[in-house]
Amino acid sequence: MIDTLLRAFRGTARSPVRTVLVVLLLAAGLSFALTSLALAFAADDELNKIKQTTGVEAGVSVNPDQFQSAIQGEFDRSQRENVPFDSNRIGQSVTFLTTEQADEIAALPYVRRTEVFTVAAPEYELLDRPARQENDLVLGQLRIALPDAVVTGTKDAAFLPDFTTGIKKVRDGRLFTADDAGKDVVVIDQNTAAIETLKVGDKLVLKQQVVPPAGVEPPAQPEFQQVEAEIIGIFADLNTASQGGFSPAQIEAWYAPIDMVRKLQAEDSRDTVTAISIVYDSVDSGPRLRQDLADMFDPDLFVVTTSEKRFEDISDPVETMRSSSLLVTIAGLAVVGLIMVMLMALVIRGRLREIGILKAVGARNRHVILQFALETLGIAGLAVLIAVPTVLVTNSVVTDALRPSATVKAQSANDGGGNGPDLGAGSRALTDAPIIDDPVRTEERKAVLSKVDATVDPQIIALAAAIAGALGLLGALVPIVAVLRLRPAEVLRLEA
Amino acid sequence: MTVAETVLSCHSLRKVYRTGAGTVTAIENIDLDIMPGEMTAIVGPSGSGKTTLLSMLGGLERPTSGEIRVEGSRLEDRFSDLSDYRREEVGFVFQAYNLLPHLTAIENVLLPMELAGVPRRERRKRAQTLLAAVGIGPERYNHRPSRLSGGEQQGVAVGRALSNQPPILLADEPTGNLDGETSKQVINLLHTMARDMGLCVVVVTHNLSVADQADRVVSLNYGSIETDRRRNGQTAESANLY
Repeated sequence: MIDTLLRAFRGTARSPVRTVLVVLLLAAGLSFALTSLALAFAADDELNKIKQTTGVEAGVSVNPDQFQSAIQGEFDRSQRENVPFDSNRIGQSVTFLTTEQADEIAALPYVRRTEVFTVAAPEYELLDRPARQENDLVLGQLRIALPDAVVTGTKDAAFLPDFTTGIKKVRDGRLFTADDAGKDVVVIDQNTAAIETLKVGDKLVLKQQVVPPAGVEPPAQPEFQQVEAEIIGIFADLNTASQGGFSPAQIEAWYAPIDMVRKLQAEDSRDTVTAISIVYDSVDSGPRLRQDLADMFDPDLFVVTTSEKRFEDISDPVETMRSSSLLVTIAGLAVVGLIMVMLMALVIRGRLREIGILKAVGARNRHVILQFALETLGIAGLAVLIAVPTVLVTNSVVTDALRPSATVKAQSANDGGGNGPDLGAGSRALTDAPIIDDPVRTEERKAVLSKVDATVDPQIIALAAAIAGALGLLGALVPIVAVLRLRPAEVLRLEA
Repeated sequence: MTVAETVLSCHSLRKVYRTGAGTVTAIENIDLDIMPGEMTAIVGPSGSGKTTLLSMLGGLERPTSGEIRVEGSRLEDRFSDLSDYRREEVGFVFQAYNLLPHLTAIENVLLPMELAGVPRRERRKRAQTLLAAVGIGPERYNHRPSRLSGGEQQGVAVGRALSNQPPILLADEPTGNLDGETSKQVINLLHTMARDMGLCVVVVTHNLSVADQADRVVSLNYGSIETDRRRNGQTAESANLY
């Protein structure tokens, strides 16, 4: 074996130019194929990561149709009874979610966390001067009383998708956190702040009319729940800007700790929840979750949204990259294999005399095959040594070029819905089930999408060696077996 | 084995080549017994079938019909793989030497022994003895064929042919590329091998001076034996009687 190995080495070294040519061609082909393969592997890996870090959020919210019907009902009532339209009555005929239902969802084995959201729709007053903004709609004789803002309450504003996705950005101050529980603080929009010349640290009074339960007539004199809240943050809304700017007659969406929002609600409605956001363990649990939620909630009353669409949005370009990389790999390897067969056929053709002599002095076919196999493996090894660093360099370049352009977009239950009048961001807050973004997951997701990690790991190098060896052996053995079928005298005659 | 025992023989040997233009009968109905210890020269004009006959005797070519016997046994019966026959029973010397150019002189001699699995130390010792016998000094052992003279290369080829101590040595125009003096030395060497080692040596040549030194001369023409004479004037048939 050692002698055969030495002879193989001598055989390889005999024609250095030819050997170098074969090595370089094999290395070039391998580099090309391995770059694609590394990308395919990386894409596969990314898909798994994406699967683990996206598409595992869902939400349940009040069906917007309920509000549509409630508004229509109140409009009909005001017409029929010839009384003013009362927006406070709308909530009476809407069936909200409850904290009990949120707890029920949280108890599902594959659910990791739930967040509840509730809203209040107050008007505001300033402490030292009259407010300049008035949202009530006056349509001829008809006056529709509308709140100034819809305040969404939750435990931690860090989970609010409007902020995690960058649609809204805090301009001054800060968002509330779980540490603000029990504090009367609020985060308002910059347009209201500008109109009313409010700044962080100022206070305003939030007032919401107490709405009696359905079927109970409201008192002659309206009763209000009110809270004096400190402004801790002012945010800019990119959506408002892109939609042509601020409209004074628009209900703004504000944010506050859930305990503060509860203070604005009537005693008997403080168990209500407008939306429940859910984080579950993996995309694979999606169908089960949808089934469980379908069993729990009447689709006429509630809307279930999941973020699987987001998974598809992110994974599609990566999936495309994986498929195309694999195709390029296969095509590249096929071409390399073909080139190797042709090159080795030429090499063998140039060494017929050697094969004939070996056979004439008594070499068995396996002796000849072993010698050429060892030579080929040596060439393949050299090609791998060249290909691996080449792939390392080219991969960093190609990775940037093929980086997926997926972006995380906030999902909205109202997207494309077109149900009911669009009364602004505040009204959407009533019916959105926010797809909450776990900050940890958001960071993971950003990390996943920031680059495709097409590093060449030992697995790829081992594969490269195996592929190079296999291609080399294929290339060498096909022509050599053909030559070995001839009689030694024929081989020597061919050479002559 | 006594002198009278036939080492190599062929009976009704025939070789037909198929070519694009039809078939060519290279060898027709040849019967031949080769004895140990003697050098047989096969002579004849170009195309008379000398090399084809030698190739078949050496297992480089299969006959179309007829049989070859080695020490009394049919070649195919004794060797299922003709590589074994070529490695163990036959040494071949070619006109163009056919040394492997990337191996040194001694490595060329070592090669058949390596294939036969001879122990490394034994190989080296035997190669040195053979190279000394063919007149290659130690200073030339590590020279590649391209740095050796024609005579030296043929010496190495003879050394390689004898390395596995075969009973049969076949040489195809061994002096074809050599000058007169060197040719004489090579033929003397082969003759000595036959006589001293009891080898059965068959030399194909069209050089009459080479044939003159052979113990027996078989003349081929058109693929058939024309004459078969021993040096002492006896015909081969009568020679077979003793």
